[in-house]
Amino acid sequence: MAEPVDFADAQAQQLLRRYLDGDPDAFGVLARAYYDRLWAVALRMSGGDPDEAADALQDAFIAAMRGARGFRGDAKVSTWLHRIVVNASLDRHRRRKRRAEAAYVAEDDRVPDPTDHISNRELAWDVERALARLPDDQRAAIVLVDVEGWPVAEAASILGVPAGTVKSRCSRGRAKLAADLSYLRNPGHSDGVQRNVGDPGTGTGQQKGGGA
Amino acid sequence: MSQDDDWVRELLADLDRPAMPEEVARGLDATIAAAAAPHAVPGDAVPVGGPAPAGPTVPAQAGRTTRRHASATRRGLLTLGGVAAAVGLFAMVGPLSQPQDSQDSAGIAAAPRTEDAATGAPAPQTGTAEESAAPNGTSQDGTAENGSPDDAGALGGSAPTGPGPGFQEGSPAADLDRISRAMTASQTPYTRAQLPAQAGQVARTRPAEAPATADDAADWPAATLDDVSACLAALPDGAGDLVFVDLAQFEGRPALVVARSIGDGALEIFVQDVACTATDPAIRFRTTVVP
Repeated sequence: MAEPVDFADAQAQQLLRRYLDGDPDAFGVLARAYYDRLWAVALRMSGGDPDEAADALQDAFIAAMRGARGFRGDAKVSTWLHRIVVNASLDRHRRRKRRAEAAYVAEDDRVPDPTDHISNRELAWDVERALARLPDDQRAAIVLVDVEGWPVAEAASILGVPAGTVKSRCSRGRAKLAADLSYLRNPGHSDGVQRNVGDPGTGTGQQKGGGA
Repeated sequence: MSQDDDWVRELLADLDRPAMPEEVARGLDATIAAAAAPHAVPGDAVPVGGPAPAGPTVPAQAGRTTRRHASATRRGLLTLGGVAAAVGLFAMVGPLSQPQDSQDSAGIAAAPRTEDAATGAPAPQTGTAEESAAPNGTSQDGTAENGSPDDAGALGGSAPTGPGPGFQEGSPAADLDRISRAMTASQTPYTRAQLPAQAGQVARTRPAEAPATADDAADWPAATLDDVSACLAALPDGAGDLVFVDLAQFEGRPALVVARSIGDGALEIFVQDVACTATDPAIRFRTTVVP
């Protein structure tokens, strides 16, 4: 598989035009540039179920290719793709609500001893599970804004709701997460979270943020 | 912004971005490459009688084992197995297993794992245009096929099967009826490379009201309708929108080849091992065919 590239929206739009003009490779190049970003969103929107995420992405890319002629260029290509992925994920999630309780949520519901030191990996796992338990609309807003780093206005465009709605969904979602993850909080630590800083094999991920 | 918000936001921002697994990326590459086949952007009109677009193929994800609603469905179907027999819809008998497979305590063969699915290798694109499905609800000679453009019409002459007269929509008996009428034994030697084209061909040509019989599928391990129903119920989303269930061979081994309409003329194809059960779909291969 070719290495994905990250490029500006102008390049993305150019690739989209080339695809519409009949270049069979153009959409693949465009899509690969967003694979990881879209995967992360689809995976979290699916509650951590990789099969669901893969299916949602497949649905989304087919929908994007079918609807490419309708793309008017008044939004970034990355915004447009994210919107399609979020919608595909939500559609699948609604259809398969029962199964969507799986993955992160279904693992275990232990409440750790607050005196335990937990590794960064465990911490991330706990956060992912709590995220998966949020209502769909709040999870979507939080994934886009807080996890992926999209500006509220762009997230609103992706979700098709006013910016104020995104803010309120984020706020409600964070409040639920704060309650759900309260056992992790330790005001004595600099960042307010107790963690084992020396845990190997962890660390921050790739730079996150808005689309190209 | 409250302090509570700050620490939660920090936790969220610290989450890694998971990289897309290679097998998922390969599957998407295959889907996109096939759907972007030269002559048509998906959704564009393709001249009737012109070359048919290749259908995108997506290999099943490695380790994919979807299980849901299956047990309850199978229980319901089993209790109604006699109904199907009574109406003479499908008459095969015996366990849905290969003779050489080991049997578990229930007499159902232990499911061999999804060897083809596990490879995650992308399937080649469809075969020749002649073999490929005709686009946009027309056959290759330009005549309209059965079904609306939104169902299987684009790829299959037979629309998704519904319950026959006398059955209440959604009832277990109607499900059995629907499944039995979707059954076929096309004798198609399915291969991974040609599956989309072959499935499209079967969908177009399958007699709408000619359920398979044991004689039709002489090379296929005997099975009851209940067994087949259970296998279908184990698939993602159960047995909805069936176009056909072909008792056939896939890569030289007996298999259930299941085609379901997923709208816009697209078909979702599952190849199930004959050791499938209500709790294990035993998917050997999966692909989506888009007109």
